[in-house]
Amino acid sequence: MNDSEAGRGRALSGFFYGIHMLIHVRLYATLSRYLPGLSSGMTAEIDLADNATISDLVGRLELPAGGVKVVFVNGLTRPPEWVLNSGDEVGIFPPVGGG
Amino acid sequence: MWILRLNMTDLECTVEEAPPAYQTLAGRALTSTLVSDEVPPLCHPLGPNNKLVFSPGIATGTNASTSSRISVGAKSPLTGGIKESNAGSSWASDLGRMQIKALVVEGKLKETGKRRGASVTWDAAAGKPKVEFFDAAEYAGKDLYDVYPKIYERFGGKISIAGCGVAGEYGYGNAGVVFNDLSKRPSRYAGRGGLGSVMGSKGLKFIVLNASGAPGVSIANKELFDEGRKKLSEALLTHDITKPKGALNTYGTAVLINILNEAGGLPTRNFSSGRFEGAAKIAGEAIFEGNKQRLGKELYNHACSPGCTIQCSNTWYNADGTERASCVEYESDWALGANCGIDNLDDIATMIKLCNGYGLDTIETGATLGVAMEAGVIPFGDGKGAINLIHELGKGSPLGRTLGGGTGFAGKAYGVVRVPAVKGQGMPAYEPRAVKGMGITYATSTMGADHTAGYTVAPELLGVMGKQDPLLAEGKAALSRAFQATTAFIDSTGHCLFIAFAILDIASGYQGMIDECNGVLGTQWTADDAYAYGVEVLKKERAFNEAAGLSKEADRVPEFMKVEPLPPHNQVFDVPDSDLDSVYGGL
Repeated sequence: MNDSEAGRGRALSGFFYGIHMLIHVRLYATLSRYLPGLSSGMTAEIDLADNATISDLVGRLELPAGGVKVVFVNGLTRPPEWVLNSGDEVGIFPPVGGG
Repeated sequence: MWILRLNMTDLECTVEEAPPAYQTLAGRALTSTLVSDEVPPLCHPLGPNNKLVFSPGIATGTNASTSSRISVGAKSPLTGGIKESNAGSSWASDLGRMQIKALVVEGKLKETGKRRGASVTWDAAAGKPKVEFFDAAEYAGKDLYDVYPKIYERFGGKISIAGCGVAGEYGYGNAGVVFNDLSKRPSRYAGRGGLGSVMGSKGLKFIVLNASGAPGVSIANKELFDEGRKKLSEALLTHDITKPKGALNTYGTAVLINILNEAGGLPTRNFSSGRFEGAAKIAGEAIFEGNKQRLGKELYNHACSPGCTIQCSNTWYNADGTERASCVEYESDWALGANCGIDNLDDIATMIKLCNGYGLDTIETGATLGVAMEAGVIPFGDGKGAINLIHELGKGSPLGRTLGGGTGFAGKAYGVVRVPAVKGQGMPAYEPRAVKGMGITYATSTMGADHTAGYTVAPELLGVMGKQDPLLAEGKAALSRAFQATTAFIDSTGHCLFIAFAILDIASGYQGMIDECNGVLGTQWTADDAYAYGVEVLKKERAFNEAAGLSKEADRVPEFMKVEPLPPHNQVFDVPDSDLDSVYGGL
């Protein structure tokens, strides 16, 4: 069983017991180093307690305070207090700009 | 301060004192004023009555950080309206150091098929610039990467070069004006709107500057200028986006690929989706990591022009460590990548270098290739086929000329309905249906679809200057108007627009930019005055466009965006026409 399958297994148990949920997370630019082994834009599956927020996820990933600028949940920008749902696709960015 | 006029009909040059009415005008404000004052709005853009105007910004040529921008203006062969396109290059600061407020190219060479160059130097005895024309026939019809070294060899290393490639000689709507970068590459483009063809139409191939001995920019209040320069510099050096080893210096402008993709706003396969499955492979992060792998070390980016501390220009290297292309900008990367369904950075870099060599605007080229792919000329994702099409553009074959006309022209040639253009100019890398403020800017800008004209992406997606919901239309007309007016001012200061990331968040940086201008000009502008200055620029441009036949009916996005929902958010462009009309109506 690879990590991803293990994650799905944990998510399934969470589904039955209402304790855990699985979030699909991508870290970008300078934040990608906080998911060792995954390059920028690759998806990690993170197990979180039900009703966890974006702030909880940021804490769980031990991202630097002030280093998170924009967070997308399913393609929409959301604030730190946003409550996540199982299966959410989350993209986290430090300050970026260009054009 | 001088206004230099190159009359291509008679091959004569005049050097005039700039009139008092132009004292505070520079950069975009001056190119747009001169075009408004002197170019008949209904003239043919490639005819003798159009004029090509170059103007350095207010602070260009000083030691202010990030101030080496050159504005280029004319009536656009692509849009039929007024055009200002700007680039960062030592050519800009050299013009500023020679106290040339504007260089105006007029008329048209009498001998058809001939090409001339102009060499501008500082005449110390006369205390003003002087011009000599030279025969440029030997440089015509060639790749700019072959020609630039020959010009450097002929005129010596201390020069800077503006020019047009074969695209400008052919008269393509997507030909840019090229300037040298700091490594003497022909890679810094005032790309948009076909200005390279205006240059080519006049029989002018190059303008070579040598500012040796020039007096430099005259500064009215040095103390105030230095104060402002320091404030702005501090903002740039501390803001996370613009600081050394910050986002731009590390990943380049293509750092935006992933965030637009997450937002569902990365136009993909000719604006048929807002997400590209290959985004991560072509993003700024992939460029940084790819170079690290190929070179065995981390590589941070370099400056495009003297005195820039942001340093966002990258170089993409081959597996053997040799250079493949510089610079892989976000817009180029997207246009020739995601928009064409191509996820191979080597192919994208090859296309960028070809565009630079032929004198093509990468945005217009990529947007046009997307339309050609939609028409079935080649399949989406066919990198090698896309490279071949760019070679056709370079050859001037019938197919190349069809594509060289630009996005709108190619759409008509192939009977395509999904043509992402406004006023004939191809859209850049932000989907109007997913980033509504940008759609408003595209629709209403005096320039045609132009992301730099009013970059509402900053608050809509990047969290700069607050946060706004990108999918909401409400309130965005006012936001776009404010950004367009502020941008018109920044484009006149000679600063790179990227200072906006820092100065919109750091108030002292904004004040620093205004102090700098007051220091140079001896004015006493406030932030409100700066905004009003930008508004006046927009009004002039708007009046020119209306006289050229582009009124509010031209301020619309293409119909397909109003009826085709865009995945993943399944949004249409739902901004009412009355909101679009209010952008300039409310100036």
